[in-house]
Amino acid sequence: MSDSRKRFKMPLRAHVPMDKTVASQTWNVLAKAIDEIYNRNASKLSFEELYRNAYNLVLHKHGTLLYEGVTEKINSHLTETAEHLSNVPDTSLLEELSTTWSEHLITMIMVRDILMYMDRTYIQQQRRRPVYKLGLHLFRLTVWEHPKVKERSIELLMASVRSERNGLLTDDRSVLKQVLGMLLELGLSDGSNVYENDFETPFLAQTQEYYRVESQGYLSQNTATDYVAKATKRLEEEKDRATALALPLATETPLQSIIETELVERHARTLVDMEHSGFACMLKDDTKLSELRDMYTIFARVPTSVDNLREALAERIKADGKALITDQEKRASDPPAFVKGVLQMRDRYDKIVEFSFRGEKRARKRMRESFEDFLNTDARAASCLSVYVDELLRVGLRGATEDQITQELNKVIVVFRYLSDKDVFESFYKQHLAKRLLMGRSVSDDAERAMVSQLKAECGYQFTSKLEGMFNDMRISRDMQDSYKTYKRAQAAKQQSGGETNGSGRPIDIEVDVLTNGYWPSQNIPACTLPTVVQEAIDRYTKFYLEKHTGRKLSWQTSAGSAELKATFGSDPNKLRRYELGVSTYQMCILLLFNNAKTLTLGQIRLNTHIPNSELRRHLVSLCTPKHRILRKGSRGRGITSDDDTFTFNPDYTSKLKRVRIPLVKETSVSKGSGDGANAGGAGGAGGAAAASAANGAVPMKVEEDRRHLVEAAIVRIMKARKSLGHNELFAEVSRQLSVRFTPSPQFVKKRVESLIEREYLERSERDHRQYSYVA
Amino acid sequence: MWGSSSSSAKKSRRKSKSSMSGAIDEAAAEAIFAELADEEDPTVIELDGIATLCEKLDLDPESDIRILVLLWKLGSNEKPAQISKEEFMDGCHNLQLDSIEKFRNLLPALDTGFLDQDEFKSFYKFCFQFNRQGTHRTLDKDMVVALWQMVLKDRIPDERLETFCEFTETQKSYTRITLDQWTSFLDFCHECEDLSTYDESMSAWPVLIDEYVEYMEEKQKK
Repeated sequence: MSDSRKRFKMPLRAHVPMDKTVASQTWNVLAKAIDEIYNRNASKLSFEELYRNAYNLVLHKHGTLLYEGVTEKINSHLTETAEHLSNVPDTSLLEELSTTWSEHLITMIMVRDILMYMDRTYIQQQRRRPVYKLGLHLFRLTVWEHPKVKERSIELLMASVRSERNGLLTDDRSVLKQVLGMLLELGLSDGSNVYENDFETPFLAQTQEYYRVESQGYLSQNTATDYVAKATKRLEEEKDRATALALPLATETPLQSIIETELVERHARTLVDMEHSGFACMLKDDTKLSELRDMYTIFARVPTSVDNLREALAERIKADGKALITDQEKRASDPPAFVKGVLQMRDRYDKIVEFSFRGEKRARKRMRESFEDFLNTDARAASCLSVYVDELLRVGLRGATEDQITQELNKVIVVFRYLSDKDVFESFYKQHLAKRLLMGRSVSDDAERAMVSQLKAECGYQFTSKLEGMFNDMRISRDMQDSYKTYKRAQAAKQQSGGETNGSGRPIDIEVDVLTNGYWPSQNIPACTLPTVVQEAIDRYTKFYLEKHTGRKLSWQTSAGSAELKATFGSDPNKLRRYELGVSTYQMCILLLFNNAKTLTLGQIRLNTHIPNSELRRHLVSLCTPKHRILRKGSRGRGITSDDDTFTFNPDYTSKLKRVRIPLVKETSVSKGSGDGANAGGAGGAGGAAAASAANGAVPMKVEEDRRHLVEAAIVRIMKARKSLGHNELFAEVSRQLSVRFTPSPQFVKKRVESLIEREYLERSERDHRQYSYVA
Repeated sequence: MWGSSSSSAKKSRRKSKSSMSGAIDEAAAEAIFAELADEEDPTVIELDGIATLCEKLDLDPESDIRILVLLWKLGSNEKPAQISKEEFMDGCHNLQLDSIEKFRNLLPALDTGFLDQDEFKSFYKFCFQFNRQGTHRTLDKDMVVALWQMVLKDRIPDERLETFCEFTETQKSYTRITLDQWTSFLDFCHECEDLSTYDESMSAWPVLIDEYVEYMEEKQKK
């Protein structure tokens, strides 16, 4: 080597041109060196000398000779390589290819280094491919594009991915990774996109095909839960593989989406509807929360398919709700059970949404809508809820702590929020509250107030102002009662000092609740005829009250009161039994009649008391029950048939207790479902009125009437402000204003509009029937 | 209170007409009015007088709609079922009438077919108002059905007229018809020829018409 260096040593004389012979000699040296590099003998070469040779060639305008020569040299080596590779058996092709590739890269780096000067000057001027890139380009053309190399390699790549997917262990992933890296680099170096064209496209197609076949096959033979587990695993595997093979993001993204489409989106409907194990089916099962969650998780990868799950949830809630309503219709008498059912349902679906849907907002919204949907099919829910609250406040919350009360009431409010007929609820609630307050049945004042303040928070001041008025009346009545006692004592003292004596012994005590007319449920029942002693007491109170408040009018609600009677039973004068009977005012009137007569007919009793017929029958029947047989009924059976039915005082009545409260029988057992009777029932049995209305789910007459006024008032208010308005805008505005209380139907509003047109508050435009204007 | 726009339209028409043609024999016209006027209140012609007028003109007041058209054209406006002297005299000026003969000559021009859509609308509204009783705002259902058949015949499709009358008669919840329902029906006939495009949820028509469409849908199903 040292002597050859001497022989070809050139003096530095730039101005002397290099002739062709010298040039080709120089090139030969370089060519030989390249061969050596290829043969892995580079260590024997002198970099400095070779660099100079290349430098001289380029300097003396022989760049083209050099470039062409190098191209040809590389090409011939690559052709050899390609020939070799084409004969390598399939088993080791990828490995050999990968080795060849890495060797080629090293070679090219060395060659590039020698020819660095050419890269910097000649190539830039001539705009030709830099040496290194040239090497890659040639590699692609000669080696990769070789028919016996490319086709086989691709097939091998696909095969190995396929066998990995099939669960077989494959050869070293690093070989795959390297070959893919090679394709990527080849593609990038000359913009030929070999990676995309030769690998990515068939790879994605194969993936799609593979998962399409697999998912269909798997789904047809396994449960949805298994399928979800499998699909989840598949998605993870693919992600792992993509990382291991260093797939570029541009491949990984479509790969993921293909798999998601094939595994999830394509089967979304089936997975939801599948018998026994589908999402819809699992919703019925309380133990499947985590299975549901798994399915949600995998569905969430394809956002559009989650709608299927939400839809299934909505369907399920509506179906459950419908079942509750049907149950309620069948038994027709147990509104609290219905509400309990709804509360349970809500707890359950709340859990599902919270856990399985991961508290997703849209699922929660769907849930709310579904509840609203089935609860508002008629006004039943509103009345049932009120009956339920009544029960809570009378019995359910007895002895409950403040926290428990708040908790229970919060649950109620959640259901209340779903209601659109809030006014129906209010109407029933008012009736129940009246009963609780007047009969002192409430478990606690705090609970009552808590409920009202909850309602106030939901619906605003107006909604509860009457309820608050009722509480206020009760408070004032208590004060009034105290001052009445003082007044009475003073009166009594005066009478005694005046020497008058009261003829009928001690006057009876009365307790009066003074109720403001508009606040309480209106009861237009005329007062019955009261026994003289009671009437006297009432007159005294009236006198006292009107002295304090001139200009007021007291009207007595005999249907709402109660009384305590001291009664003596027994035929043997030596063995008399005395009881204190807690009865209604009506019953008191009835029973006192028997002080003067042994037997009376229904007709006679009515004549003497003027109690409305249906109420009279109910209160009488309650006095003839097997448990509390104060009176003996002449006729057989439960009901009272005619005015001539007789009632006789029963002296043989016994009871273990000294104080006996006579419960009232329910309305329905006396006269079946007469609507008016139900509405008038003031002091009546717990929830009788509501139960009757709850059963048919209609909006009560009274509420319906209030609604008419409210809608008309809203229309006039709006039209007065706007002067002229289109039908749709008017309807939207009316609905908006009233939404706190109820949701009017378009027909309902239209009827009100027509009525207002009739009464000349509004006018329909002559030109456009959809346009109304306000008539001042 | 009723139809201020139509009455003002008539007033302007009178002015333009009277400027075109000569004055009428007012005394003769007044004589005609006096003959027909009510015995108790000679300032108005009541239904009896109208019946007499029909006799003179050989019209059947029960079935011939032209008498209604005549009253409308004369300008009966103030109260139902009568025409005041002032209205009558103004009408005679407008229509150039001063003898029964001239009234009779006018008859052929009174066919409702000559009225354009706006004129007819105004006349249609008049029919409702004229047939009211005293202070009643609404018309009895039977009366309405009879009027429809007389007034709307050939004005709207026969099928619509028949089915709507049939529907109204069978509807138990309606015993009387309001002016709004009356006028809306005519507009409805003009605007909604094809019931299949009717959208009840968006409609602003009176509920009566919604129910009619429902009724027709039911009928179609059967």
